[in-house]
Amino acid sequence: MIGFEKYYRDLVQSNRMKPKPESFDKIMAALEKKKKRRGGFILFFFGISIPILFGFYQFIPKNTIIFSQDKKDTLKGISIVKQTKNRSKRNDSIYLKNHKPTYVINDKLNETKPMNQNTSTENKTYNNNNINQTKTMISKNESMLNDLDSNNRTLNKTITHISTSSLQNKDESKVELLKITHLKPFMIKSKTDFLSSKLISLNDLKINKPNSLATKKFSVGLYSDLGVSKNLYTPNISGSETVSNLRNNSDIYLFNYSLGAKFKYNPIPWLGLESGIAYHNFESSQYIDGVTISSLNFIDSFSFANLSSSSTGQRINNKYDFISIPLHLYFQTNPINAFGFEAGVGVLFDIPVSTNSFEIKDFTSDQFLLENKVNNSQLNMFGVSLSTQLNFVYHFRRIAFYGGPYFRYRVNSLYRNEYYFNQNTFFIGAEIGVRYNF
Amino acid sequence: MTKISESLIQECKKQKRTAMAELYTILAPSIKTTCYRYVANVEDAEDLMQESFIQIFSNISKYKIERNFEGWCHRIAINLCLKSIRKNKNKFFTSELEHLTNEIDESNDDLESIHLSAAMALEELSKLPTGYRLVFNMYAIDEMSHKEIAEQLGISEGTSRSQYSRAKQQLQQILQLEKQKQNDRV
Repeated sequence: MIGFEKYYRDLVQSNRMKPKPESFDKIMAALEKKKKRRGGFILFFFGISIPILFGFYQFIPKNTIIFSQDKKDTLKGISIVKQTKNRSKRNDSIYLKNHKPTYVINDKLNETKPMNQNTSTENKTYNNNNINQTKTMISKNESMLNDLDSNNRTLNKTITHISTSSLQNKDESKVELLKITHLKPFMIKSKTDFLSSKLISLNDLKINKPNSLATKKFSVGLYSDLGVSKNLYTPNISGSETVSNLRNNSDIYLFNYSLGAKFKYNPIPWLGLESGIAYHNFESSQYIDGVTISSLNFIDSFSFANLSSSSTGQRINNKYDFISIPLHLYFQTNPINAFGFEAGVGVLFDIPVSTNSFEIKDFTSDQFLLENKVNNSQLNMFGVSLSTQLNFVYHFRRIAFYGGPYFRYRVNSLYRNEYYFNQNTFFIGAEIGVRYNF
Repeated sequence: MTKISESLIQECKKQKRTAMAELYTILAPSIKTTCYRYVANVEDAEDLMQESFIQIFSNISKYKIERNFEGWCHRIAINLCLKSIRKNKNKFFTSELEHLTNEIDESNDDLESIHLSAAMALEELSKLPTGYRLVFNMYAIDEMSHKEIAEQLGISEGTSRSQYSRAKQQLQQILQLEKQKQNDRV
């Protein structure tokens, strides 16, 4: 490096520009904000991961195989449309389809427990009387199974559970059946036909999936929820650290509740899409201690209906009302059983309709001058919260009762970005509701 | 300049506010100057200085003690400045400057005798076009190689050299004018 560069470098580097006095506080505030956001996202990440993983590993059918039309042809009119495996219950089921209608071959014949209790006794009798006559036979269907085996290795295990059987009825008529072990029982729709039929073939088995969401795609319901969050106030502009700290120290918890109606659409049994509308309320009780309020100055026109004074401090209720729109995606159990689970992830939109809080104007000194009532224009007009939820569901005929915990992290501040501080929340709470399935 | 002790860095790693304030007091003026050298605007330099400290304090746990701490901090600031310039300007090298072939008269070796103030040197540097200023800062002040500059700015090494030559020529002219003024006064 020649002399010029060194000369100029030394000159330039001897400069020291003085930073603004408030810069360090701003840096600290930004770091604090970053830390809190990170905490919120970590919580949300775990909140969202658990239901998704739970959903994928418990609710979604495994080993789903859809055969092409060509494949159906090779199966001589009988095709395996879908195979599901529920690991937790060790139940396999195979849906056989011969165009229309859809057939579901039942569980081990000697253990059949139809969902419909009315048919239970008859079926049991039928099975007890006839199961001994069941003969496993190697038939044309074996070639079908071999064909499957050669084409899809995932069927190997299931194939070992399948055998073709011939079942004799009371009147000695023969029934050809595919016998599949570990199969979840299904209700037989036309049990009378099944039992009285002289010749029962696969084509005659009409099986209905009881209570299935597949046949009840739409539901509407009412719900209510309650939750609590720790307030996260972070300063937004220079000098607002005092106000932010005051709120953090005096306005610690925020409570919420909602009342609303929801609509749910289930495009497939294990997946549901939910939306709705609700009245949503945030409320906190802020207590400002006596030392701080000794310098409070209210303008004459300022008053809160619910403001109360005491010799030791001031208690002020902050209340925010919203119209809320939830959008949720649910992984859910197919409610063949009366009890089921739903794990949901989604977004909640909040539109403010009424606000009751206060605004501190003078925050550069120890004087906290409460000048104006906060109105909706100071709030973000479109609040966005990320939400995760786990519901336990009980189905009774067409009605489903549900309830469970939720976690919601508000992504944007309650207040607009230009406001003195940001207010973020993460609610933990519970929701209960009832749905009617159409 | 106050030396930054290892213990101070360790305290900052523990996010102790007093240590962070001390580090800030030591480094803030030089980091703000660095930012100003690059962006040539006091307000932007202030914002970038703050952003630099946010990055420094957020990532201080990743700092390895064997490296020069001050250099590490300044490098963070420089990277943020370059990012900010890239964001605000799509192209900071004018095409005619790409073909610059003028060679600089290196015989001006008595320029050191000029009494140019530090503030004035910084001011004159800030008046250079963005491309010149960046390359001059990176090469002459922050001692990066043309290869490094080319990689950082996404230009060729040749362009970096030519930008530097032009910047140097312009600054030398300013210095010569200053020298002339000083001679006239004498």
